[in-house]
Amino acid sequence: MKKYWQVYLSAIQDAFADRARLAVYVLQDFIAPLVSILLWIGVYRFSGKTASGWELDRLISYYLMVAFLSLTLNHYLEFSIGFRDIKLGGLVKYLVKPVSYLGYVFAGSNGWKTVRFLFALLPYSLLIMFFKQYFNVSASLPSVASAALFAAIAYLMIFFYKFLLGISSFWVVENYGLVNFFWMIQTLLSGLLIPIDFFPNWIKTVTWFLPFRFFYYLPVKLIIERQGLGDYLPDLGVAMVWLILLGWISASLYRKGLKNFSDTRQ
Amino acid sequence: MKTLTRYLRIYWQIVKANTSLVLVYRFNILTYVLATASWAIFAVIAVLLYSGQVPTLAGWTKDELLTLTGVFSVVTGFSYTFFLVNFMDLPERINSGELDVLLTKPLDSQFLSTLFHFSHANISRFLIGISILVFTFRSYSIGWLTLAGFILLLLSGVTILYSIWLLLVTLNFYTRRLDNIIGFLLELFDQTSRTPSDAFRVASSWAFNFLLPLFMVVSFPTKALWGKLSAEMTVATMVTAVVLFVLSRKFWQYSLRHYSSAGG
Repeated sequence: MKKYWQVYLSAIQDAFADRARLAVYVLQDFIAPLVSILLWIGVYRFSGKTASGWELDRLISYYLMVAFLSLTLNHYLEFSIGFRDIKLGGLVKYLVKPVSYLGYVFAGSNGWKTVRFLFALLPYSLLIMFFKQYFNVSASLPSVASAALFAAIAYLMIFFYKFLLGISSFWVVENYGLVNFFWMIQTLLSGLLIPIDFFPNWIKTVTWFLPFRFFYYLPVKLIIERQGLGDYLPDLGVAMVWLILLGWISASLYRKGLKNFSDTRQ
Repeated sequence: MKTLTRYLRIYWQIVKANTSLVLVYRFNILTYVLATASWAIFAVIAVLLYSGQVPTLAGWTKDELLTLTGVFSVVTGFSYTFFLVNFMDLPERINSGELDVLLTKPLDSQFLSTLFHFSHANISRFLIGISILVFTFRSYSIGWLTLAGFILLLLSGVTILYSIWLLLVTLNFYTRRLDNIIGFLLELFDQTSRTPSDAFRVASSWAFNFLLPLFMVVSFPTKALWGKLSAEMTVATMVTAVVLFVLSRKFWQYSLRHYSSAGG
């Protein structure tokens, strides 16, 4: 455990050393929710209503919370694993060390995420202050606790999901296309673009069978609707199954992929 | 004229060389096409989802929103095919000193630095954009004058986008580790251009004015196609394109003096 703690600390140091780039990345994270918020305010001022019976303040609160979850839960590993470690052969240095690559990547990602989160606090506070007249959330303790539990599961799910996208480079070498395709699916089905409630029923049914709705939509919905875990026990079961499945597939495919790997620096 | 012909001939050689490279990794091009096409389809799905909820989005009807999506795909398809990869690569070239290779050629440095890579995969996005426009306008008629104005505005829009990219990427001559600034602009452009500009105008005039050059790239040509763009804004878009292009070129030429190669 101690060695992964060192990896975590070293990632924090790296992230601070790269703070100019990190600041740009953090600002980039705010663009999508900010545009959505301005869009819906514009729509509301034009027609006096938003969509699917959602009041404007509820919708804006939704986007503000999705923005918070997105910067808290999202991992950014798919290109570093695919390009730096697999395509360019950087993976070799982990293979000769007594560490698990999965654990190493997880500890490193947590380090970067810690600093990224700290950097995001100021712009996020400004965002809340700027739209405070629309931020109307009266969350209950059970709903916040349930949302936190789902968010913790989502954090791990996103990690395994991004890890899988990264190691796809064992087979496709350039994973840019595949990653972009899944970004699109994730943006659409995780509630990042619009709440899943706005979808036609058949898409809602499809989302039920996929892991994406757990990423942002479900934790935010729990808070907005002030619901506790009791109403979402089946969802908790499905989330756990997805988490175990993603973890298992990640570990097995990584082992399989290693057989395809050859260090290109030779 | 002679110089233009020479550069066109050289550019054709660049495209051919890029094509040979792409053919070596055929599976990669397939995944790139999948990605670019899926983003174009994503934009259409987003419009259908929005217009399924509200009759108009900040005054824009479903057909107008589809046109916006089509124009967005055409502009991104075109710009990404010709320029984007070059702008993505430039910070690394500047920081590592690889730019030397391009600067030592007896050609215009801006031409080579911003047009050296040709991205075949994004042609699919351009074609999807054209298909969306043809589909949307299947039951409408457009006059030749409107079409000519639209094409002129479209070219102005692409010029504005190119110039903003060049201005930002040139900053890398002065500060290292700013390679993700293009990614930032890309995200800003992607998010704002798929959204009707009038929503921003109504929501926040400050945001609208700040993002005005980006709205000139996609939103304004779309409005022109529907006959909703004022003459003042049409002229303003074209003037902005010329001014930004001249400014970015001057800035590039000036900043080249600060380039000291990797060992400098």
